[in-house]
Amino acid sequence: MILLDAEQISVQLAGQRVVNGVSLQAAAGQLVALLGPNGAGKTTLLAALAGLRPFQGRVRIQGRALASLSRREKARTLAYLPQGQIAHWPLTVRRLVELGRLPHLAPWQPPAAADRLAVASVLHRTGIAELAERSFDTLSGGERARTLLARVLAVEAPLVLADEPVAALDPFHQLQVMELLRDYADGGAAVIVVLHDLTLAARFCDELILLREGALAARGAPATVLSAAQLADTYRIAALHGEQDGQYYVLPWKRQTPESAAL
Amino acid sequence: MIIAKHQLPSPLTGEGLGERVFLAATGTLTLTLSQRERELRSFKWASLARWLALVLALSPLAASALPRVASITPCADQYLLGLADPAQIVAVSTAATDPRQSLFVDEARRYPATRGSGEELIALRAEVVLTDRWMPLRVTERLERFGVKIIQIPLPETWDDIATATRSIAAELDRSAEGEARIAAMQTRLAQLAQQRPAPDTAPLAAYFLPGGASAGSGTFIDTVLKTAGVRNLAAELGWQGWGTFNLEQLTLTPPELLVMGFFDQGGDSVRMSFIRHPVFQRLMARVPVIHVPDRYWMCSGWFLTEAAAYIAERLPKTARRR
Amino acid sequence: MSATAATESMIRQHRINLGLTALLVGLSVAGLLLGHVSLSPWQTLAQLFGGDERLAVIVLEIRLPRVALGLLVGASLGLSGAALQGLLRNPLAEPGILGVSASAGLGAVLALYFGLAQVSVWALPVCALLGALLATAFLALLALRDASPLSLILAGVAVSSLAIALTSLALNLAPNPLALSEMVLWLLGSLRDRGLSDVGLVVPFMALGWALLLSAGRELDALTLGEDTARSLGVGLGWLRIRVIGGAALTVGAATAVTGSIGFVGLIAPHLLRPWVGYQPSRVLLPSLLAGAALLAASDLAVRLIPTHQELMLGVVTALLGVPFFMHLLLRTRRTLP
Repeated sequence: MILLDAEQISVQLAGQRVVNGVSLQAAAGQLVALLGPNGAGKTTLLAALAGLRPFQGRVRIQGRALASLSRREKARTLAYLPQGQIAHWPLTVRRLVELGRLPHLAPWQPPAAADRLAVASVLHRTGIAELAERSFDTLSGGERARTLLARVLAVEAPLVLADEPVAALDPFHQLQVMELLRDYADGGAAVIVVLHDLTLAARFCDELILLREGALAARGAPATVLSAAQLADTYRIAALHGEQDGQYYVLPWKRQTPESAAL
Repeated sequence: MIIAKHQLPSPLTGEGLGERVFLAATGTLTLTLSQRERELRSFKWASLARWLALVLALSPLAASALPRVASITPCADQYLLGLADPAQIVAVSTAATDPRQSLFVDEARRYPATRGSGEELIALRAEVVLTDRWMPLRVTERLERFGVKIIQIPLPETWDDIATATRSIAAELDRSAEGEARIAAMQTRLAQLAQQRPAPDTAPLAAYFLPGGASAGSGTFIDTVLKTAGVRNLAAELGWQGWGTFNLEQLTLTPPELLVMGFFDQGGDSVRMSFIRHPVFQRLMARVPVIHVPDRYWMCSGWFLTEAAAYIAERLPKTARRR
Repeated sequence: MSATAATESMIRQHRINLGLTALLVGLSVAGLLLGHVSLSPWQTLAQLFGGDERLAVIVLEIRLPRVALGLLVGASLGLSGAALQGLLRNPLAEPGILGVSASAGLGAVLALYFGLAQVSVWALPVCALLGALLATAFLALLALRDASPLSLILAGVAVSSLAIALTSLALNLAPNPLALSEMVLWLLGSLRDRGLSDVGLVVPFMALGWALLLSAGRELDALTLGEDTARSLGVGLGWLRIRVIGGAALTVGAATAVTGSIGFVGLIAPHLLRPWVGYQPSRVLLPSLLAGAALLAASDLAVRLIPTHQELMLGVVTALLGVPFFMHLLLRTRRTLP
């Protein structure tokens, strides 16, 4: 089932076209990666899909137009994880994760048992249950990333948009986060992730969307999108590739300078 | 209504720039050379007269030429306009023509108004400047270099002090006789008021108020005026020395029998008036007699305070007045 | 486990609120019993049962409005400080520092000294409100573009200076020649000689303002994670900003209209309480309201009891407390800035 259907999305920032006519789809159970070199427009596109930037084009969530959803419906259907690890106040982990239940709370009512249960479950799944009463500023980078991810998962939304969730994480935590996202997608949600790491993208994602200078360069399975020609064209690199345990992997190997390209 | 005013010599309307020699014998004899010139027919007598004037101007008698004086604050205005010869006044302050602040409004209109800046004073060629406002040392030094003498008017708190102050200022203006006249008038008035005064044990307890609740205790000219008018001063009886601010709570505990209000002519609303607007005070005002003394009567301390005392004495509740 | 943790924090929250309320009650009673004329509890009881009429007047008509107004104004300042800090995500934001109080003072001065207050008794708080609104709106606009703490404080200094300069100019031009000497009253604030009518004047504005601010708690929580996340969680940012700005303007405007500008209460109260409530914006609102009231009540008590010749200005006490506090905060925030 297609959960997100975006057609001809264009976004202008400060008079410049940052995203130009990109179309994409995400189905239930899919983990989709948004790739591209720096400045390709990935973050802007993701924010636009979340309804956080004005855009031209059409976005349909579960068959309904994005604009037709009420604020609350949209909040319950779509969960967004921005770049960076912003928390302006040093709340405890539990309180931060509880913020994810906001779309489900009635205006003046305190969190119900269902909400508490959802929070407990997500704390457990992300492995930060024992950090629940620690305050955010005492956490390490990996713990912070997991906390913010837990907050997103606590929304229990069928669609998750995450912007570089593994940036600045060590390999252990990178893999952990990707596994969490994979599990969540496997549970029936559609997850779109902006990534820089080609290896992780190739291993964990069902579909890759490659952007270049705001436009769609390629779309499809990892092996197709991360072909040698495409990598040379978009990233100006050459890569090794292979398969392990039924998973396709790609390893960026060499930069392509004009002389080496001629070779 | 100032009795002393009527005793002033009628001012001479002389030219401003003509050469004049004043012989201040009793303060009433004056000579203008220009008038003399017109009367004299012969050139010879005219030149002789001029030569005489020059000699007189240069002689020790010239020291008695009345100094050119300016006043730059409202209180200084009162002293200047009340003591000086009109010919010696070069300027008064901008407040002198304000009927709310000045007793000599009509006289003051004749003179230029000055804001008291150094430039203006020097341009006016003032020789003496009367003020009761503090001037920074630099300014006084600079003015003195230009030959301007700054006289600070003291704030006399008792009738004796007023007499002393009047005398010394009159001396600076070279109008000692005028000063004595004023003092004499003041003392006559005081004697009159003393006769009208109720006996100390029947004198009503009065409280003086400014809009913010400020009041004056013993050792202030307000206190002197109140006592002269024949009332007791609540602030003084509470032991206040000098100025202070009343507390509504104190007022509730020890209410006065009579309210004397000052500075209510200023008009408009103000945050300071919250004291007066408070229901407790409003009720007091409704309950006891209130005398609003116009500000000009006692904004400053001088011989004219007798009129403030008279104003109050006339309006005392009948029961307090001695028949 | 999570259930107990949740109830634990609820209990703690209730305890904090109860404790602050008890403190408030204590300070209020002290405020009624202490003053120029000291009363013992027996005397108060005696007058309650129809004793000396003068004591009744003192307690009910002189002290009660003053205490009530002190509580209302302090509560408003504390609450609006907490809300502004939540909205601007900046622990240094508060109505005094940001110039909101000074702007409200400007509005009040224009109403009072140029005859507007004679037109209607409501003109005074409305004009103060408009002044506060202008300042808050401008600052919120600025915060949208550049939210660094230092730039916000600088903007606040600019707004405050401008407001004070214009107030001074207005007082200079006012028809009342004594007006200029009343600058002090406007800049430093005072509760002296306020009556029940003053209380009645501020209550409607404050009630509305409090409602707007207290209702913003949850959304301010969401803002912790940034504006994009908050919006994705269903927060209507524009409406939130209007509510917080409007609420702050209403409460600070009304308060300043009757007491002059009093600073630092909105800074100290939330900051003291934040660690106790886990730094959560929604949970800091009500305690800040209570603590602000307590702070101002205590300051006013000090002002009334300290034996100076002329009664101290309230703003002097809050500034003496507040400025060292502010410097400490500023240094600490700078160290934690990236």
